[in-house]
Amino acid sequence: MSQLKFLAIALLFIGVVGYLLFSGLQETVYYYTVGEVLAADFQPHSRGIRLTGTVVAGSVTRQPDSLVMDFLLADDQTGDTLKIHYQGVVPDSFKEDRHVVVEGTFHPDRRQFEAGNLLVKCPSKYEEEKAST
Amino acid sequence: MLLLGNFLLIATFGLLAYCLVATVLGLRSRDTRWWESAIRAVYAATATVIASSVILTIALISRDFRFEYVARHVSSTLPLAYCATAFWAGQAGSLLFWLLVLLVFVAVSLRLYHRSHGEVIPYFILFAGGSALFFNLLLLMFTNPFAPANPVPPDGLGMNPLLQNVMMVFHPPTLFLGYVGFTIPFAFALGSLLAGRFALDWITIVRKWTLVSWIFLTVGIILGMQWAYVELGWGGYWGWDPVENASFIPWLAATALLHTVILQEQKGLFKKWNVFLVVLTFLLCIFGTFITRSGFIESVHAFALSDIGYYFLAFMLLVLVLCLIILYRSRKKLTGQNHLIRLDAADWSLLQWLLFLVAFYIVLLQIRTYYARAAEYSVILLLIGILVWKRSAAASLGRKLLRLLSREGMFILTNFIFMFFLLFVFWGTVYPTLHEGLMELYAGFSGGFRESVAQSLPGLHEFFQRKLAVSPAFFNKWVMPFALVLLFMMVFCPLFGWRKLNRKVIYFLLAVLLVLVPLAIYTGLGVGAVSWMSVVLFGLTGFAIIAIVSDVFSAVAIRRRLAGESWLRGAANLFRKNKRRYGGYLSHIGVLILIIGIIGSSFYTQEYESEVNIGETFIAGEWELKYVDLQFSQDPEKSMYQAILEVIRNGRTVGRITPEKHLHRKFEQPMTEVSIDFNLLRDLYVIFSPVNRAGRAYFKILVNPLVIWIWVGGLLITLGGIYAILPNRRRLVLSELAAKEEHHA
Repeated sequence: MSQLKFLAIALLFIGVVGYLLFSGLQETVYYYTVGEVLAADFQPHSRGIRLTGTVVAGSVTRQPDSLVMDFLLADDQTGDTLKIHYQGVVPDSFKEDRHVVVEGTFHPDRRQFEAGNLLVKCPSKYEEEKAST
Repeated sequence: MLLLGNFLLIATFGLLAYCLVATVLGLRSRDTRWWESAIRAVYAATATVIASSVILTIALISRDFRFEYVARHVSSTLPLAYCATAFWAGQAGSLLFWLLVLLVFVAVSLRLYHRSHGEVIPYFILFAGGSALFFNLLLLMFTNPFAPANPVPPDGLGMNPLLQNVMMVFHPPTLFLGYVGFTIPFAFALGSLLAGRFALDWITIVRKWTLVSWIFLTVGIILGMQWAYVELGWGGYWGWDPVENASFIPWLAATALLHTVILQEQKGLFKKWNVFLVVLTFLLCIFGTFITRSGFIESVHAFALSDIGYYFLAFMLLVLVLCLIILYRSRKKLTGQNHLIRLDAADWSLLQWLLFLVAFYIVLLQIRTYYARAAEYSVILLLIGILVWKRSAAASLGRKLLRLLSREGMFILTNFIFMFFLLFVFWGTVYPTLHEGLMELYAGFSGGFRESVAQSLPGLHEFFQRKLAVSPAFFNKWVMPFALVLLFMMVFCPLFGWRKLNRKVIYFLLAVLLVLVPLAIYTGLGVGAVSWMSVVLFGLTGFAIIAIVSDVFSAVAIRRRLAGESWLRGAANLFRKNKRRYGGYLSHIGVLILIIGIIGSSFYTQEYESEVNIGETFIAGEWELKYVDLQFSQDPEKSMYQAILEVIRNGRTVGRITPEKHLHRKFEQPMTEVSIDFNLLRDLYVIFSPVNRAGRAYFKILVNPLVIWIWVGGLLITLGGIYAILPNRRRLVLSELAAKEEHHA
C-alpha cells in the first residue's frame, strides 16, 4: 500500500514538474518553410514565426542610404520564393546563397515577410569555410 | 612529423589500453606490481600526448601545410599568436587538447594520491583512463589532427575572423580545463565507492578538484560572455544559445555540488546526493562538449553535424548506466546519519493532499477562461479546508519545515533551486531536438488518427507538425523566479546558525526589510525605474550584500571583544582562519555584483540609431556624437575602415569612439568591430556600418548601464573560489574528519 502511495505521489510530482516544463513551451516559435507560408490555407500567426530558406543570388537590394534590405528567400525543397523585408544591422556572415533563418510576421496581403531578426545559419561557422575556396 | 604525430597518438592509445588491462589484472590477482605498472603506463601516455601536442604546435607555428589541420586553420598571413591558438580552434585540435589536459590532470592526481590512497587508485585509473581512451579513440578514428593534407595547398585557409580575438585565445582552453577537470572528482568519487574506502577524506579531494574545475569553468564562461559582447556586435553578452547553455548547465551542477559538499564535510549529510552530483557534473560536461561538437542541437554557433555525436551519446549512456549500477549497489555505504527532517506518515499524507491541490489548481487554470476568479477562490478554500481538517499534521509539518530555516535547510533549498534551474535550462536546450523525435513519432501514427487529432485539437496537431525553436523568452521567464529566490536566500543564509533559528536575526531582518523596501520603491520611482521587478531585484541584491558585510562585521566585533584585536587585525585573522568560508562570501558578493550588472543592462538599455555624413553630429540620449572622420588602412590579412567619433556631453568632448569594419581577404564577409566607451556607470556601445563610398555611415548606439560590474563580479567570484581553495593553516582537518566519521558510524 505504501508503495502504491509513493508511486502515486511520485507520479503526481512528475506530472506537476512536467506541466511546468511543457507550459514553458509557449515561449517557442514555430519553423515554417516558404512553401507553407505561401500555401492558400496558411493562417497568419499572432506570434512570430521562423522561416528558413536560402537567399536567392542577385535578389538582395539595399535601399540607398539606409539599412533597409529586401531579398528573396527560396524554399529548399519546392523552390518557391518569398520577399523578405528586413531593417537592421545585417549580420556579418549574411551572403547570397547562404542558408538563413528569419523571424517575424508574414503579411499575406502584401505577400511579404517582415523580419525583425535575421540569423545566418552557417554550420561551419567556427570551422574553416570550405565553400569559399 | 606527420608520421611521428600519428605514431605518438597510437602509442598513447596502446599505453592507455595497456594500463586498463593491467589495472584489471591487478584487481583480479591483487598483485600490486600490475598497478605500479599501470601507473607508469599513465605517465608514459601523458608524455606521448605532450610530445604529440608539441608536434602539432610546431606545425601550426611553422605553418606546415602538409598537415590538413594546419592548412584548414592557419594561413601565411595569420598573426603568429593566433597560429599557436589555432590548436583549439578546430575539432581535432580541441579534442587533442582535451586529451592532453585530461592526462596531465590524471598524472598529477596519481602523483599526489597514489601513496595515500593506494586502494582507490586502481579504480580511479579505470574511470579516468577509460575516459581518456574514449577521446583518444575519437582522435584516431574521426578527427585526426595528424591527417595529411592532400594535395598540399600553397596557403592555408586561415582562421575565422570571429575567432581572432584575445578572448578567444583564452576562452576555449579555460572552459576545457573546467570541463576536463571534473573527470578527476568523478573518477575519484566512483573509485572510492568501488574501493569501499568511502569513509575518509574522499570528499575533501573531490571538493578540491571540483573547486579547481569550477574556477576554470567560471572564468571560461565569463570570457565567453565578454567575447560575445565585444566581438559578435549585437550588444548583448548572453543569448541562451545552446552552446552557451552547454557551459552553464554543468556550472549549475558543480555549484550545487560545492554547496552540499560542505554539508557532508561538516555534518555527514547528503552522501548519496553528492556522489550523484559528481556524476551529473561529469556527464553534463561531456554533454556540453557533445552539444558544441556534434551539431545535434541546432545552434547558430555549433560545429558541423558529424557522426562524432553518436559516439558521444553512446559514451554518455555507458557512463550513466555504469554509474547508476555502481550507485545502486553501494547505496548502503552511503547512508547519512544525520537527517534534518524525518517525515512520518501523517506528514506524507498532508503533503500528498497539498500536491493534489496543486495538480487540481493546474487543471483549473486550463479551464479558467470561464471560471476566472472562482478557480483561485476554490483552491484557497480547499487549502484552508485541508489545513483545518489535518490541523495536527499541519502543525507538526509546519514545525518541521521551520527547521529548514537553519543553515542546513538553506543548503538544501539552494540545491533545489540549482537543480530546478538546471532542469529548465537543460529542457529548453534539448527540447527542440526532442521535439523532432516527437514529430517523427507522431508521423508514424496512422493517417486517420492524425486526421481526427487535426479535427478536434488543431493546436496539438500543428504542435506535432512543426519544428520549433525555444526563444530566449523561455529562459528569461524562468530566470526571474530563480534569481528572486536565490537572492532571498543570500540575504538570509549568512545569518542562520547550524540547526537553529536565530529569532533575533529574523526580527532584525524583517525590520530592515520594512524600512528598505518602501525606501527602494520610493527612490526607484524617483529615478524613473522602468519596472517594479528591477527595483525589487536591486533592493534584494543590496540587502544581500548588507547581510554578508554585516555578518563579517559582527564576527570581527566578537574577535575584538574576546581577543582584544584591532578591527584590521581581527578581520585579517578572521579571513585567514577560515579561508573557505570567506572565499565563499567573496564569491557570493561577486555573484551579487554580477546580478547588479545584469539587472542594469537588461532593464535599462537604450538604443539609438542614426545615419550621418562625415562632419555631422547626432544625438544619442544625453550624449552628442560627432562623426569626425573615416579612415582606411590595410594589412596582409584584411582591409579596415575605421570611423572616428567624438563623444560630447554638455558641450564638452569626453571621449573618442572608433568602431571599425574589417574585410578579411580569406573570408568574403565583413567583420564588425564594435567600439565601447565604458565607465563605472554605463557602456556606450557603438556599431558602425558604412553606407556608401562617400563616407556616409550608419551608427547604432547602445547605452548599456552597469555592464562593467558583470566583469567585476565575475572576477570576484573567481577570486573567492581561489581564496577558498588555499590551504587552511589547521593541519587537523584529516584526523578530525576521521573522528567525525567514526562518530557517525
